[in-house]
Amino acid sequence: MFESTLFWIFATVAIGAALGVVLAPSVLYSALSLIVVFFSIAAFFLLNNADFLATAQVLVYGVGLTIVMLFGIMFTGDTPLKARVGKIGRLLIASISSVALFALIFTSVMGFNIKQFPASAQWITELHEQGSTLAIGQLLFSKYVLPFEVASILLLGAMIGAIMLSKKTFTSQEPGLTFSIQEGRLKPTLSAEWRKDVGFVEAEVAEEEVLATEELKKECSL
Amino acid sequence: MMMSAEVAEVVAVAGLTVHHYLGVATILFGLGFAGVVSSRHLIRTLMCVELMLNAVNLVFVAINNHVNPSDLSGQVFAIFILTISAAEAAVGLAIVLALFKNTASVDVEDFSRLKW
Repeated sequence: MFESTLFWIFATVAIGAALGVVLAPSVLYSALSLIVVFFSIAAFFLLNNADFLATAQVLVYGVGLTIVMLFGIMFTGDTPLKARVGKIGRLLIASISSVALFALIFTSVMGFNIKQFPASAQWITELHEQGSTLAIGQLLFSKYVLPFEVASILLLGAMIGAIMLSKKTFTSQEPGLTFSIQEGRLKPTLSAEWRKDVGFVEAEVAEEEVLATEELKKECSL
Repeated sequence: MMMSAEVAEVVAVAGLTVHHYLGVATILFGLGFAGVVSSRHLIRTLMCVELMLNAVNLVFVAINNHVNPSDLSGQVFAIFILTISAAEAAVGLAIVLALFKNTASVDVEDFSRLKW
């Protein structure tokens, strides 16, 4: 009875907060209600004997991921979007397609009936007393060790990719030539030494700059 | 078999079946999909993708606990999904920031360069 009450409370909170994520007027409010959704899903995990996963959920989603999202909102600024025509049509299409998807999944899920393999009472009490961390760790390092390693390589790749994507400047092979992005355009700057070494007069340098910009624009297709 | 009857009894007393969790997860997934389709803010789109991933996680854990609690494979799968979604969020936000630096906009409708 207690579990049931908890379930209904958290279900209400989760669905309400998810509605907030989709419908909130400001992105900041959606990020904040996303935290509520994550915490109530952590509660669902606890109701399903998944204490390790609940902790990971709170740490990774509830704290880490939402902070990253809030950083993103901070960087981009919470400016209201320009009004566009066809807003009603988009909302109509979105609601129709999502309701259709929901109905499709819901009808198939509600008929879900599969053979159960109930665990022994001893296992359940063990799980309740010791938590699921030991069992998950054993599985992760025996049966699922290959996916585990692949996931670590993927995380490394994602980290490198994220750093490369958010880097501020391009570096060039030419020692005196640096590039920076200003107002969405690549801007080359020539150091004074480089100009002297090559012996450009100012006018030529200006022309050279324009050429370099054009070439780089083509290369980077900016 | 005796165990199964006991489990069934516990479930009946609690009035809570796996279908409840599946229903909630479906609702969250549908809401996340609606957000992905309707939202014009890039970061909100990312957040709705996270919502959908979380709904799937909930299904994994609930079905694992319902079908076979002595084998925690479902929870391990949920951990992998968690890993992937963290990577996805990091790369996604880096792309959003790069786009914002180049166009000073986070409106999805402004990024129609690949549209014919």
